[in-house]
Amino acid sequence: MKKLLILIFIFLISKASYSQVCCGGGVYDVAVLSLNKRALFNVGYKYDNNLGVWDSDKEWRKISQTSYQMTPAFSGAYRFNKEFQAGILIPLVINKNELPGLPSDGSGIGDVVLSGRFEIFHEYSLYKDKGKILTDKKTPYFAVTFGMTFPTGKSDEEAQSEVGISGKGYFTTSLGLSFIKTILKDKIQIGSDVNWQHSFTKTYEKYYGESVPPYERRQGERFNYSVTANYLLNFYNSVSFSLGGFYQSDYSINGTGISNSDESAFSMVASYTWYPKTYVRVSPLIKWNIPNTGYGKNATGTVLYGLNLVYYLENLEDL
Amino acid sequence: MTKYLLLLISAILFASCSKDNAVTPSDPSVNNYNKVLTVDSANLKVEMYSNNSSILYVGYNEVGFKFYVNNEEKKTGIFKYTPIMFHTVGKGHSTPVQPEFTYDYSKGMFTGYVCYSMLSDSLTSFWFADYNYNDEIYMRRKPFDVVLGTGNQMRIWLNPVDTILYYLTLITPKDPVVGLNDFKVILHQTYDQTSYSEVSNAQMFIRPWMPSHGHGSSSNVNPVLTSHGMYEGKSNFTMPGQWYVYDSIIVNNQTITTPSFYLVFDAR
Repeated sequence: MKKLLILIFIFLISKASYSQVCCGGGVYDVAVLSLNKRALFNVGYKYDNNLGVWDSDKEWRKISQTSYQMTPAFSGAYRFNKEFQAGILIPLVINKNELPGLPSDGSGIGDVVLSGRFEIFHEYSLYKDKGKILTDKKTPYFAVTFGMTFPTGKSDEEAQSEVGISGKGYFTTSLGLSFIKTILKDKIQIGSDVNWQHSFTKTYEKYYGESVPPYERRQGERFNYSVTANYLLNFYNSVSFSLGGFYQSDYSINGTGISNSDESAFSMVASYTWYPKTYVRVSPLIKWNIPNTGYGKNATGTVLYGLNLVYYLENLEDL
Repeated sequence: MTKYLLLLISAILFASCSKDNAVTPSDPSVNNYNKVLTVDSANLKVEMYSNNSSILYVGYNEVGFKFYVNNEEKKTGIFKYTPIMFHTVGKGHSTPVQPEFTYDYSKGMFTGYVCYSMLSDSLTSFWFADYNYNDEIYMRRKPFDVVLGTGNQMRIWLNPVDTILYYLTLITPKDPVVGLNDFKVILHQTYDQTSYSEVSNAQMFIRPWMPSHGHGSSSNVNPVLTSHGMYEGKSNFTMPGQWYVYDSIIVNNQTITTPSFYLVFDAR
């Protein structure tokens, strides 16, 4: 049972959907607790190397300069009861973009994310039938997820240059569903996550620190999706592979949609997890886009390397 | 009326194509200047060159002229070039051009610029040029062709307040790259589309914008006057793709770019 719960945890935490701060939205890892854990503390690191962009015709445009973003982050989560848990993510954003005559380095606190999930069903729950305690082998894990991103980072309104951008500058909410089903007990699981992100309108009175005639901008509605398969090698090791992506509708300026500004991208994530102790997890991951024409639109294509170190507190209560 | 205009154009065309008024396209190059055409008329000859091109394009062209009288090349004085566009329907007009071309010994020709406002075709629109040396020797109404070129851009608009027609012509960048680009334009005005003058008292404010991503860029430098009518600054295209560069222009404390307009760039 413990293995299974750990697997669930790995599945949830290994989802990584991320994009450039200045272009489109991004969903950070959400720290998620299994039933037998009360709280977790996670120190994560990501190195996101920009390869290029897809233009509005979905043509892949490779970039030649050194351009990357590093994101050390702290996250924590707390389980309140069997159904409800909440988490927080506090990232530090470090940007590098080497172009002649332009600032090449910048950093700052990123946008803080609060998240939560309401777990409606758990796999392998125990139930009573005619006085006997049985295990439910049919019901999948199912949860409603929600969250809010706070504009604590520096956006293009106040930053002095692109590398100084560490946040979006506006509030974002998310609402989604999370599903997991074990195919082969203690070996293979599949799961899927979907969520809808809504961004609130931001009024710009400055742009890169200079006053501009006020205007309102709002990011389009965004839909994220992923499908993941997990394979447990043994009690100490597991691997997962995920296919995912997003679609985002046109953004708007002063209430008017800008045609052909919708965004999309497709990505893959592979991760490995090592459990040296029941309360420690080490998980490197790699996420990559396919840098070819047709696999994205108005989005940045990257290769991301990540590492998460998790320490968690056991849940000693009987849930 | 249309018939008479067609007849007039045809007459001009035939007159221009007579043997002793031959216009011969050719392409030997001098100091990166490629010969575009040769105009012969009796004992006079004009060779027209274009910098890094053997074709004349809509938009900004750096051009040069070699002028010969009795096969003797003139290397002093002033050369004037007056392009004129004739239409089969509607009024003809000229286009912004450097008022006087002076001899540049390093290039071995009279050098300057011309900004063609439109292309020629074989049905409705015909470019002709007058050539003038020292206001003493003239060659009139010689035909030539102008085609559309990638990267060249021009914006023409009427300011309703002072009823002046303005021409903003892009000089650089014609092949923009990701990062900082030299942004250079030239501004002209005209009341009658016959004579044009460089506007040298304008203030310009540029704002690059990536429409498909909904963001602009930092570190841009507003263009300032560098010579007659020419303004130079920097535009920053932070990523590959299509960028708009809005240019707000103030002349005599009046914003003349209302509504606003933009130039379009594809940064690679």
